[in-house]
Parts: sequence; structure tokens; C-alpha cells
Amino acid sequence: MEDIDQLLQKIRSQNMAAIAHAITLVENRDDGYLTLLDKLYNLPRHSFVVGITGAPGSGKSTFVNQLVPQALETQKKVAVIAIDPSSRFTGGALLGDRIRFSDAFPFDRVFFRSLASRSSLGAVSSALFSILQIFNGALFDCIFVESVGAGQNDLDIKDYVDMVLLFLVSGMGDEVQCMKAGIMEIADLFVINKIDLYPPAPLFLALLNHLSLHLSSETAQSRIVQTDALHNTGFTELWHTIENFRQTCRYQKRSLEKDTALLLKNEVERLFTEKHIQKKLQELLSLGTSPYQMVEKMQKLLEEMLGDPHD
Amino acid sequence: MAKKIRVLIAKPGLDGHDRGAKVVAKAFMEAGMEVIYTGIRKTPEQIAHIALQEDVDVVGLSSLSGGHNTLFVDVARWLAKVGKKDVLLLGGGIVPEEDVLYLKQNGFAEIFAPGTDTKTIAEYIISRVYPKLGNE
Ligand SMILES: Nc1nc2c(ncn2[C@@H]2O[C@H](COP(=O)(O)OP(=O)(O)O)[C@@H](O)[C@H]2O)c(=O)[nH]1
Ligand SMILES: [Mg+2]
Repeated sequence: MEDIDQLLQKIRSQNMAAIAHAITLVENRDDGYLTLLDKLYNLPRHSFVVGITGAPGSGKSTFVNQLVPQALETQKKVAVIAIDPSSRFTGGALLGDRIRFSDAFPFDRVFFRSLASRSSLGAVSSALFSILQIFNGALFDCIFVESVGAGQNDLDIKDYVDMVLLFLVSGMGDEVQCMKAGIMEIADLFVINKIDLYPPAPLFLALLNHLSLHLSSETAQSRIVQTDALHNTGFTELWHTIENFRQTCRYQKRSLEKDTALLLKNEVERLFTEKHIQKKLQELLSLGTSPYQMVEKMQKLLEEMLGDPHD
Repeated sequence: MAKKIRVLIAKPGLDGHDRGAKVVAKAFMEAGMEVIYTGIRKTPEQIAHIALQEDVDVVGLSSLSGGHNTLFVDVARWLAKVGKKDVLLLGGGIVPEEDVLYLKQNGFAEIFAPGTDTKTIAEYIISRVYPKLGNE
């Protein structure tokens, strides 16, 4: 087992190789990863974390590429975590978000990591929470997380970040899509992108209507921005909006209860892909005749282990 | 659960054709690897920094423009310079035999000729990297 204290030291002193290595350690659950995370978790909050979600192709990667130089004007260190899906069949992944990323950013100030979602059960990699602790420990000022952008699972991102940006494109059916339960509620800022291609007015009005149900029309308007990520229109203003949000909305409070629940949920999901649970499922197959009967048996087993929830 | 092999596919130099690189990237994904593709026209220095940040096990370079000797070796030098250790360095493209020897003396594990079956390359990578990761 490697020297975790030494690794922690290097992360704290912003050694890029150490940060890169620590991320792998955590993703692979290599020896010592929990010791490392335990130490990182107790450090004070430093990073402001912005989550970016929205349908594939809506321009998230292009947008991050424009936002980074804005961020660099006031922030010393910026990290980007770009998540792409793992294939459910081969377990492999094609991580292509870097293609949209400029070559011009200084490597000692901008850390870009491509992440495969790995677990098939959520759009957000179960290691994301832990990887954010690493960047926080390395005193990165701002972290952008680009999520896979696939449907309902993407709601998860809210649990990991301080601010959620939802990407929408006018005229692509997003007017209806965005009214669906959940996604509206998790977004702190609505970004109407590709305004050079599609007139944003219909989507803007639909959003405004929806938001005005709960907010004053002034506040509702301030929650919508319009961008052309390809030609870099609207970004200075956008960065100010993000900075303002950071000032007024502070960081999400750290809650031992919430964080533990989040990690445990990931852990339980992951266990279902592991061999011994698969074995248990095989055993159960011989006991019941329908999936419901087997689920009932499984519930009984768990209740015996954990006790009655109503006690 | 087997650990994932992470591979960086990069094209140093100025030539702008990346069809071959994309085919290889897709094949490696189908072989179960996590493949980071950077797009075209990266400098050796950029490739080295990207390899470091992405903490890849393998860097695969492709070049069809004939500048491989200098460019490929520059990547090897930059990898050492930025402190990226433990990386399997591979090349692909039309490379004459005497150059293959030169590249192998300068940090490259293998050079694959165009048209090499991508399965063969994937198997080669797995055989070299799995022992390091502790996979069976
Ligand atoms: N015209 C136009 N094209 C854009 C804009 N934003 C992104 N694109 C293009 O849309 C495509 C998908 O962008 P990408 O950033 O990869 O989307 P992602 O899947 O959400 O990350 C790319 O070809 C971009 O060049 C925009 O504001 N205007
Ligand atoms: Mg993207």
C-alpha cells in the first residue's frame, strides 16, 4: 500500500500528477482510497462546484470551453470533470469532450479529467463525490462538472454540486421537455444555447411563464441566460451571474447525514454488480417462482438484518 | 470487478485526417477500455500534459505525415519532462523499419503498421497493462 499521507501532502501542494493519480485510486477503489477520502473530507470547503446538464448535443462542452477563460480571470485554479457514458455491453467508453476544449489554457491552472460513468445506474459517476473532495483538497477555486445529459438520471447531479446549469435549445421540443417534473426544480440557471441557429423567444417565454408561477418576474428573468457558445456570445454576463450566485447562495451546506446517505446509496447500487450479490440472486431463484416473490424474500432477509424500521 | 484500462489516442503534428484514429478509438472502447480522444493537431507538450491529467495507462500516437521521428520522440521526452511515468507508449502509421528501431530505443513499446487488426492491438495492450493493474 502506498503512503497515503504523502499522497495527501502532494494533493495539498497542488501536484498535478498526484491529483491525477488520486482520482484513479478513488475510481478503482485501490488500497488506501478510503483513508485518503476520510482525510480529505474533513478539510474546509474551498471549491465552488458548477454542474452542467442538458441533452447531448445541446452544447455543454463547447460552453465549458468558453467559460473557462472567464473563470481564469478571477480564479487561480479551475477544474473540469466531463462525464460520458460507459457502454453497458463492453464496459468501455469513448471520452470525447476534450475535442471541444481549447489547447490554449495553461496546464498548471486548468485540470481537465474525462470520466466514464461506469456504474450503469446513474448518469453521475459514483466516484464523482469523492473526486470533488480531491479537487477541494487541492484548493481548486472553481470546478465545472459536465454530466452525461441523459434524462431523469441527470437529476442526481444536484446532490453533488453547488449550482446547476440546465442547457436547452429552442425549437428542439425543450419547451415541453423542460416542464417535466424534476428537471425544472433542480436548475438554478437556465441556459438557452445556440441562439445563432434557433430564435430563443418561444423557449424564453415558456420558461418565464413557468418560473413566474413561483418567482417575481424580475427574479425569473435573472434565472434565464441566452448564449451562442460557438461564437462566444453572452459569456461575460453569464460568468457574473454565476459569481453573484456564489456570493448570495453560498456553498451548499455540508451535512454528515446527507453525504453519508449519498455515499451509501452509491455503495448499495454498486454492490448489485458484484459477485456475491449475483450469487445471492441465483440462490433466490431457486426459492420463488416470480420476481415479486423473490423480492419479498429479499426484503425479509434485509429486515432480519436491519430490524423493523418502525421500532 | 476488473480495473479499466485508460488509453489516450492523440495525433501530434499538423495533418488533419483522423479517420484512422477514430476507428482505433472505437475498437478499443469495444474491447472494454476507456478511450480519451483529443482531436487533431496537438503538440507533444499538450499530449504529455493531457496524458498526465487523464492518468492514462497507454498513449497511442498516430501519424501519417512522415514527421513521426521527431514528433513521436518529442512526445516521449515531454512525458518524462512532465513526470508522467508508467505509460505504455505506442505508435501507428507508415514507419520505415529503421525508424521503428529508433523509436523503440526512445521509449516506444511497439509501432503498428497501418492495417494492423485493431483486435491484435487491443490484445497486445491488455496483455501488457493487466498485470500492472492487478487484473487477472
Ligand atoms: N451554431 C452553434 N453551434 C453550437 C453552439 N454550441 C454548441 N454548438 C455545436 O453543437 C455541437 C455539439 O456541441 P457539444 O458542446 O459537443 O454538446 P454536448 O454534447 O452538450 O457537450 C458541436 O458541433 C458544437 O460546435 C452554439 O451556440 N451555436
Ligand atoms: Mg459534451
